[in-house]
Amino acid sequence: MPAELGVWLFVLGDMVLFAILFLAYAHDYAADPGLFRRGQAQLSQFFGVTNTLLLLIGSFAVALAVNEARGRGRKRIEYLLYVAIGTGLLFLANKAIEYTHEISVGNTMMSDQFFMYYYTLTMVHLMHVSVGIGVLVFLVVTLRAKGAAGRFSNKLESGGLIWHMVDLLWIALFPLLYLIRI
Amino acid sequence: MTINTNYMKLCAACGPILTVLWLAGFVTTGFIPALDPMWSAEQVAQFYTQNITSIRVGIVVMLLALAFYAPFYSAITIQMFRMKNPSPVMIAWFVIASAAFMCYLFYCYEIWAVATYRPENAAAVQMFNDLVWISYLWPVTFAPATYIPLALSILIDDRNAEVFPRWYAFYNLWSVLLALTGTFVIFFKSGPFAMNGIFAYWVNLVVFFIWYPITSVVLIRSVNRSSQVLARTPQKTVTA
Repeated sequence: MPAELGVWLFVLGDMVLFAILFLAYAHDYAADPGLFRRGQAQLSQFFGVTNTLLLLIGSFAVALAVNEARGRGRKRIEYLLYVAIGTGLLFLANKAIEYTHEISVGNTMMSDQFFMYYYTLTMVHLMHVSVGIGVLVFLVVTLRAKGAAGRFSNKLESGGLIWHMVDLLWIALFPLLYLIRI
Repeated sequence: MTINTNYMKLCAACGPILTVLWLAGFVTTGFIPALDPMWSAEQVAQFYTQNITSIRVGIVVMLLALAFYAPFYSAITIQMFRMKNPSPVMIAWFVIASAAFMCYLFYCYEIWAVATYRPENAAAVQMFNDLVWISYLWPVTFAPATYIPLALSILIDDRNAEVFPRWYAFYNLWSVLLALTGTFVIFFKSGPFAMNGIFAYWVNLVVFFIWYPITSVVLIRSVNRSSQVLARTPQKTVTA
């Protein structure tokens, strides 16, 4: 099995949390679809699509890095990790612009139930992106200090797994908040 | 030497004791879940008046449970010292955070006790009730300050005979994330993130509570292993 068991448990445990969050959202959506639809109509899909693309590129870079680790291409692994870190930082920046935009038109966490979910879900996810960037930075530091030999590829797989989870959660969040309307 | 490991076992056994006492006390108070934040001051005061004895008894039992935290955290700290390469700063971090956390819990019970003291003053009861529950649920994020150094110490301890299993490190990191669901409690009076909601109350408190039985099992196993090691080594090593 790639990565280590503990990381898989962590990832599954974290996805349980998000599953509960998504269920709560779906439950409240069903209770008042009109309100949620109005809220969704106010979100800008541009930000959502951009962030989706950013995370997909980041995940692709991490996947390439994991593949590269098998061939021991140290420099390329490092560059690919920089690409992934870059997409993560751009994601944060894009989110900050989006929040500023929403707040400036008067949509805050206390506006209504839809925006409560919008802010809490995206903030919890945002925290995951930050932690994921931290993990990627740790991988770069380890790579620079000790090279790609030894247990590095295992660490890279674990870090990659966490990064893919961050991506996967967004792939679920994006349609839930921006696209699916019932 | 045998005496030393016995003390260690005694401290580790405080884990199950505090778990049972805390749960018993908490259930006795009857705040399952916390009172609806939409309630009026009169409704809150009425709840306190009607259940005053059980609330007081529950708080006292939880206060007793608090007495078992210090030996329990001490046992964890000493096990951390057994790791091969824990940075001393991680141990200091854990000690400071867990000590602060115990004081913090004491403060929560104290406010709760004050809320029950003069239930005839409805506005004051409501305010103290808010203070208890915002303190209790919101900085349960205080607890992650103890999970993080513990997790990091385990992850950097790379020798084969592990003191704590590696999954326990990831479990701690997971608890950090889940505990953060209480963060939004100050924004809402209804819904899943309000103080009686599924995230702020249920997810948050269950994760917080479950940490004690799981840590107790991990700790007792680790202590048993270390006393076996001690029994086999010559007398000079008095570490545990």
